[in-house]
Amino acid sequence: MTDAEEQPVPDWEEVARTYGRFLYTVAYRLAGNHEDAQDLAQEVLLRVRRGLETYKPGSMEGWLSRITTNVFLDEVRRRRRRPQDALPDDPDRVVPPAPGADVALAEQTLPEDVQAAITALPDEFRVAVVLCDVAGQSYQEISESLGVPLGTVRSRIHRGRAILRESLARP
Amino acid sequence: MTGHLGEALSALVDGQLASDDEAAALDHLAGCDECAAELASVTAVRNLVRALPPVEPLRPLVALPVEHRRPSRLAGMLAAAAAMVAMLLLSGVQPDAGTGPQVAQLVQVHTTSPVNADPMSQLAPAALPVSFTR
Repeated sequence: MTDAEEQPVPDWEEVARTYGRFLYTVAYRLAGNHEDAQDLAQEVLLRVRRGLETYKPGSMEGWLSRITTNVFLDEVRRRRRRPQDALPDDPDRVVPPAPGADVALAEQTLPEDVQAAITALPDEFRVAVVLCDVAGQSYQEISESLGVPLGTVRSRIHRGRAILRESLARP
Repeated sequence: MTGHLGEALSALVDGQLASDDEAAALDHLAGCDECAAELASVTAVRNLVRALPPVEPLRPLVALPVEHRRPSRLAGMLAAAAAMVAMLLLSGVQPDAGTGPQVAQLVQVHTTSPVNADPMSQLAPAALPVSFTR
Protein backbone atom coordinates (compact mmCIF):
# COMPACT_ATOMS: atom_id res chain seq x y z
CA MET A 1 0.00 0.00 0.00
CA THR A 2 1.38 3.38 -1.01
CA ASP A 3 1.17 6.54 1.02
CA ALA A 4 -2.51 7.10 1.81
CA GLU A 5 -2.24 10.79 0.96
CA GLU A 6 -1.35 10.01 -2.63
CA GLN A 7 -4.27 7.75 -3.42
CA PRO A 8 -6.22 9.15 -6.36
CA VAL A 9 -9.99 9.49 -6.33
CA PRO A 10 -11.12 6.01 -7.31
CA ASP A 11 -12.44 5.28 -10.75
CA TRP A 12 -16.00 3.96 -10.67
CA GLU A 13 -15.29 1.06 -13.01
CA GLU A 14 -12.37 -0.01 -10.86
CA VAL A 15 -14.62 0.29 -7.79
CA ALA A 16 -17.33 -1.79 -9.49
CA ARG A 17 -14.81 -4.43 -10.51
CA THR A 18 -13.03 -4.74 -7.20
CA TYR A 19 -15.73 -3.89 -4.68
CA GLY A 20 -18.89 -4.64 -6.66
CA ARG A 21 -19.78 -7.69 -4.64
CA PHE A 22 -19.17 -5.94 -1.32
CA LEU A 23 -21.17 -2.92 -2.44
CA TYR A 24 -24.01 -5.05 -3.75
CA THR A 25 -24.16 -7.20 -0.64
CA VAL A 26 -24.45 -4.16 1.62
CA ALA A 27 -27.06 -2.66 -0.72
CA TYR A 28 -29.03 -5.90 -0.82
CA ARG A 29 -29.01 -6.38 2.96
CA LEU A 30 -30.25 -2.80 3.39
CA ALA A 31 -32.87 -2.89 0.65
CA GLY A 32 -34.03 -6.48 1.04
CA ASN A 33 -34.59 -7.15 -2.68
CA HIS A 34 -32.62 -7.21 -5.91
CA GLU A 35 -34.52 -4.46 -7.67
CA ASP A 36 -33.88 -1.85 -4.98
CA ALA A 37 -30.36 -3.15 -4.35
CA GLN A 38 -29.51 -2.71 -8.04
CA ASP A 39 -30.83 0.86 -8.00
CA LEU A 40 -28.95 1.57 -4.78
CA ALA A 41 -25.63 0.23 -6.07
CA GLN A 42 -26.12 2.05 -9.36
CA GLU A 43 -26.68 5.38 -7.59
CA VAL A 44 -23.62 4.81 -5.40
CA LEU A 45 -21.45 4.23 -8.46
CA LEU A 46 -22.97 7.28 -10.13
CA ARG A 47 -21.96 9.41 -7.16
CA VAL A 48 -18.47 7.93 -7.30
CA ARG A 49 -18.28 8.60 -11.03
CA ARG A 50 -19.44 12.19 -10.66
CA GLY A 51 -17.11 12.80 -7.75
CA LEU A 52 -20.05 13.82 -5.58
CA GLU A 53 -18.66 12.14 -2.49
CA THR A 54 -15.40 13.38 -1.07
CA TYR A 55 -12.94 10.56 -0.96
CA LYS A 56 -10.98 10.21 2.23
CA PRO A 57 -8.09 7.88 1.57
CA GLY A 58 -8.40 4.89 3.83
CA SER A 59 -10.78 1.98 3.85
CA MET A 60 -12.58 1.68 0.52
CA GLU A 61 -15.21 -0.49 2.19
CA GLY A 62 -15.84 2.21 4.78
CA TRP A 63 -16.18 4.87 2.11
CA LEU A 64 -18.56 2.80 0.00
CA SER A 65 -20.58 1.84 3.06
CA ARG A 66 -21.03 5.47 3.96
CA ILE A 67 -22.18 6.43 0.46
CA THR A 68 -24.51 3.43 0.28
CA THR A 69 -26.05 4.36 3.61
CA ASN A 70 -26.55 7.95 2.52
CA VAL A 71 -28.19 6.88 -0.73
CA PHE A 72 -30.40 4.41 1.14
CA LEU A 73 -31.55 6.96 3.70
CA ASP A 74 -32.14 9.56 0.96
CA GLU A 75 -34.36 7.07 -0.82
CA VAL A 76 -36.22 6.21 2.40
CA ARG A 77 -36.92 9.91 2.97
CA ARG A 78 -38.00 10.37 -0.63
CA ARG A 79 -40.49 7.51 -0.32
CA ARG A 80 -41.84 8.88 2.95
CA ARG A 81 -42.72 12.07 1.14
CA ARG A 82 -44.68 10.01 -1.37
CA PRO A 83 -47.20 8.02 0.68
CA GLN A 84 -48.27 5.83 -2.27
CA ASP A 85 -45.01 3.93 -2.12
CA ALA A 86 -44.14 4.34 1.54
CA LEU A 87 -42.01 1.64 3.03
CA PRO A 88 -43.93 -0.86 5.13
CA ASP A 89 -41.64 -0.50 8.12
CA ASP A 90 -42.64 2.82 9.58
CA PRO A 91 -40.50 2.98 12.75
CA ASP A 92 -43.31 4.59 14.70
CA ARG A 93 -45.28 1.37 14.49
CA VAL A 94 -42.49 -0.81 15.81
CA VAL A 95 -42.19 -1.22 19.52
CA PRO A 96 -38.82 -2.58 20.56
CA PRO A 97 -39.06 -5.54 22.91
CA ALA A 98 -38.16 -5.20 26.54
CA PRO A 99 -34.43 -5.62 27.06
CA GLY A 100 -33.49 -9.00 28.39
CA ALA A 101 -36.57 -10.71 26.98
CA ASP A 102 -35.80 -14.38 27.15
CA VAL A 103 -36.50 -15.63 23.66
CA ALA A 104 -34.92 -18.70 22.11
CA LEU A 105 -33.92 -18.49 18.47
CA ALA A 106 -35.16 -21.14 16.12
CA GLU A 107 -32.55 -23.84 15.75
CA GLN A 108 -32.38 -23.64 12.01
CA THR A 109 -32.82 -20.13 10.73
CA LEU A 110 -32.81 -19.66 6.98
CA PRO A 111 -30.90 -16.75 5.43
CA GLU A 112 -34.19 -15.58 3.85
CA ASP A 113 -35.73 -15.36 7.30
CA VAL A 114 -32.80 -13.38 8.62
CA GLN A 115 -33.03 -11.03 5.64
CA ALA A 116 -36.78 -10.63 6.12
CA ALA A 117 -36.20 -9.73 9.76
CA ILE A 118 -33.51 -7.20 8.79
CA THR A 119 -35.79 -5.67 6.16
CA ALA A 120 -38.53 -5.31 8.76
CA LEU A 121 -36.27 -3.34 11.13
CA PRO A 122 -36.87 0.40 11.44
CA ASP A 123 -34.43 2.14 9.10
CA GLU A 124 -32.17 3.60 11.79
CA PHE A 125 -31.64 0.19 13.41
CA ARG A 126 -31.35 -1.59 10.07
CA VAL A 127 -28.61 0.75 8.90
CA ALA A 128 -26.66 0.37 12.14
CA VAL A 129 -26.89 -3.44 12.14
CA VAL A 130 -25.98 -3.77 8.45
CA LEU A 131 -23.03 -1.41 8.77
CA CYS A 132 -21.78 -3.36 11.77
CA ASP A 133 -22.49 -6.98 10.84
CA VAL A 134 -22.52 -6.93 7.03
CA ALA A 135 -20.12 -4.12 6.16
CA GLY A 136 -17.91 -4.91 9.16
CA GLN A 137 -17.55 -1.31 10.28
CA SER A 138 -16.40 -0.26 13.74
CA TYR A 139 -18.71 1.78 15.97
CA GLN A 140 -16.45 4.77 15.38
CA GLU A 141 -16.77 4.43 11.60
CA ILE A 142 -20.54 4.01 11.84
CA SER A 143 -20.73 7.07 14.08
CA GLU A 144 -18.88 9.11 11.44
CA SER A 145 -20.91 7.71 8.56
CA LEU A 146 -24.24 8.48 10.19
CA GLY A 147 -23.18 11.66 11.97
CA VAL A 148 -24.50 10.42 15.32
CA PRO A 149 -22.72 9.96 18.67
CA LEU A 150 -21.00 6.70 19.52
CA GLY A 151 -23.56 5.99 22.25
CA THR A 152 -26.36 6.23 19.70
CA VAL A 153 -24.60 3.74 17.44
CA ARG A 154 -24.21 1.33 20.34
CA SER A 155 -27.85 1.71 21.29
CA ARG A 156 -29.14 1.25 17.73
CA ILE A 157 -27.08 -1.86 17.15
CA HIS A 158 -28.19 -3.42 20.40
CA ARG A 159 -31.86 -2.55 19.98
CA GLY A 160 -31.71 -3.69 16.36
CA ARG A 161 -30.40 -7.05 17.45
CA ALA A 162 -33.05 -7.29 20.16
CA ILE A 163 -35.79 -6.74 17.56
CA LEU A 164 -34.17 -9.28 15.22
CA ARG A 165 -34.13 -11.80 18.03
CA GLU A 166 -37.85 -11.30 18.60
CA SER A 167 -38.60 -11.63 14.88
CA LEU A 168 -36.54 -14.77 14.52
CA ALA A 169 -37.74 -16.45 17.69
CA ARG A 170 -39.51 -19.76 17.41
CA PRO A 171 -43.25 -19.04 17.24
CA MET B 1 -20.33 -1.08 36.95
CA THR B 2 -23.80 -0.91 38.45
CA GLY B 3 -26.96 -2.54 37.12
CA HIS B 4 -27.23 -4.90 34.19
CA LEU B 5 -25.11 -4.52 31.09
CA GLY B 6 -27.86 -3.83 28.52
CA GLU B 7 -26.47 -2.10 25.45
CA ALA B 8 -22.94 -2.73 26.61
CA LEU B 9 -23.47 -6.40 25.75
CA SER B 10 -23.48 -5.65 22.03
CA ALA B 11 -20.46 -3.41 22.38
CA LEU B 12 -18.75 -6.17 24.37
CA VAL B 13 -19.37 -8.88 21.80
CA ASP B 14 -18.27 -6.49 19.04
CA GLY B 15 -15.04 -5.75 20.89
CA GLN B 16 -15.99 -2.06 21.07
CA LEU B 17 -15.69 -1.45 24.79
CA ALA B 18 -12.73 0.40 26.24
CA SER B 19 -10.49 -2.00 28.15
CA ASP B 20 -11.59 -0.73 31.58
CA ASP B 21 -15.26 -1.11 30.66
CA GLU B 22 -14.62 -4.50 29.17
CA ALA B 23 -13.00 -5.75 32.35
CA ALA B 24 -15.89 -4.43 34.44
CA ALA B 25 -18.42 -6.01 32.07
CA LEU B 26 -16.70 -9.39 32.28
CA ASP B 27 -16.68 -9.12 36.07
CA HIS B 28 -20.39 -8.46 36.08
CA LEU B 29 -21.10 -11.30 33.65
CA ALA B 30 -19.33 -13.80 35.86
CA GLY B 31 -21.95 -13.25 38.56
CA CYS B 32 -25.10 -12.42 36.57
CA ASP B 33 -27.04 -15.21 34.87
CA GLU B 34 -29.46 -12.74 33.34
CA CYS B 35 -26.74 -10.81 31.52
CA ALA B 36 -24.96 -14.02 30.57
CA ALA B 37 -28.16 -15.31 28.95
CA GLU B 38 -28.69 -12.07 27.11
CA LEU B 39 -25.09 -12.09 25.94
CA ALA B 40 -25.64 -15.55 24.46
CA SER B 41 -28.77 -14.35 22.74
CA VAL B 42 -27.16 -11.21 21.30
CA THR B 43 -24.23 -13.27 20.13
CA ALA B 44 -26.52 -15.75 18.37
CA VAL B 45 -28.32 -12.99 16.47
CA ARG B 46 -25.06 -11.31 15.58
CA ASN B 47 -23.67 -14.58 14.23
CA LEU B 48 -26.78 -15.20 12.14
CA VAL B 49 -26.43 -11.83 10.42
CA ARG B 50 -22.68 -12.20 9.98
CA ALA B 51 -23.15 -15.65 8.46
CA LEU B 52 -25.34 -14.31 5.65
CA PRO B 53 -23.67 -15.05 2.32
CA PRO B 54 -22.43 -12.38 -0.10
CA VAL B 55 -24.98 -11.45 -2.77
CA GLU B 56 -24.16 -11.23 -6.46
CA PRO B 57 -25.87 -8.59 -8.60
CA LEU B 58 -28.30 -9.96 -11.18
CA ARG B 59 -27.05 -7.50 -13.80
CA PRO B 60 -23.65 -5.86 -14.23
CA LEU B 61 -23.35 -2.77 -12.06
CA VAL B 62 -23.39 0.52 -13.91
CA ALA B 63 -23.06 4.17 -12.94
CA LEU B 64 -26.14 5.69 -14.52
CA PRO B 65 -29.04 7.74 -13.15
CA VAL B 66 -31.72 5.53 -11.63
CA GLU B 67 -35.17 5.70 -13.14
CA HIS B 68 -37.81 5.66 -10.47
CA ARG B 69 -40.04 3.21 -12.28
CA ARG B 70 -42.88 5.59 -12.82
CA PRO B 71 -44.36 5.16 -16.30
CA SER B 72 -42.30 7.78 -18.12
CA ARG B 73 -43.22 9.72 -21.24
CA LEU B 74 -40.60 7.81 -23.16
CA ALA B 75 -42.06 4.49 -22.04
CA GLY B 76 -45.50 5.69 -23.12
CA MET B 77 -44.19 6.72 -26.52
CA LEU B 78 -42.39 3.42 -26.97
CA ALA B 79 -45.54 1.54 -26.06
CA ALA B 80 -47.51 3.59 -28.58
CA ALA B 81 -44.89 2.91 -31.25
CA ALA B 82 -45.00 -0.81 -30.48
CA ALA B 83 -48.78 -0.78 -30.72
CA MET B 84 -48.52 0.99 -34.06
CA VAL B 85 -46.12 -1.59 -35.44
CA ALA B 86 -48.40 -4.35 -34.20
CA MET B 87 -51.33 -2.72 -35.96
CA LEU B 88 -49.39 -2.43 -39.20
CA LEU B 89 -48.34 -6.06 -38.96
CA LEU B 90 -51.92 -7.19 -38.32
CA SER B 91 -53.16 -5.19 -41.28
CA GLY B 92 -50.64 -6.89 -43.54
CA VAL B 93 -48.38 -3.87 -43.97
CA GLN B 94 -44.72 -4.77 -43.54
CA PRO B 95 -42.76 -2.19 -41.59
CA ASP B 96 -39.57 -2.60 -43.65
CA ALA B 97 -37.81 -0.71 -46.39
CA GLY B 98 -40.64 -1.45 -48.81
CA THR B 99 -43.19 0.14 -46.51
CA GLY B 100 -42.81 3.69 -47.70
CA PRO B 101 -44.68 3.65 -50.95
CA GLN B 102 -47.35 1.29 -49.62
CA VAL B 103 -48.07 3.44 -46.61
CA ALA B 104 -47.97 6.59 -48.68
CA GLN B 105 -50.43 5.01 -51.07
CA LEU B 106 -52.73 3.97 -48.25
CA VAL B 107 -52.50 7.40 -46.71
CA GLN B 108 -53.47 8.77 -50.08
CA VAL B 109 -56.46 6.43 -50.21
CA HIS B 110 -57.43 7.21 -46.66
CA THR B 111 -57.10 10.96 -46.88
CA THR B 112 -58.74 11.36 -50.26
CA SER B 113 -61.59 8.90 -49.81
CA PRO B 114 -64.72 8.91 -47.72
CA VAL B 115 -64.81 6.42 -44.86
CA ASN B 116 -65.18 2.77 -45.93
CA ALA B 117 -64.68 3.75 -49.53
CA ASP B 118 -62.13 1.00 -50.18
CA PRO B 119 -64.06 -2.06 -51.32
CA MET B 120 -61.00 -4.33 -51.43
CA SER B 121 -59.92 -4.04 -47.81
CA GLN B 122 -61.90 -2.86 -44.85
CA LEU B 123 -58.81 -3.13 -42.68
CA ALA B 124 -56.38 -0.91 -44.51
CA PRO B 125 -57.97 2.47 -43.84
CA ALA B 126 -58.85 1.59 -40.27
CA ALA B 127 -55.31 0.49 -39.46
CA LEU B 128 -53.68 3.73 -40.54
CA PRO B 129 -52.41 5.81 -37.67
CA VAL B 130 -53.60 9.38 -37.71
CA SER B 131 -50.04 10.65 -37.47
CA PHE B 132 -49.28 9.55 -41.01
CA THR B 133 -51.60 12.17 -42.42
CA ARG B 134 -49.61 15.03 -40.94
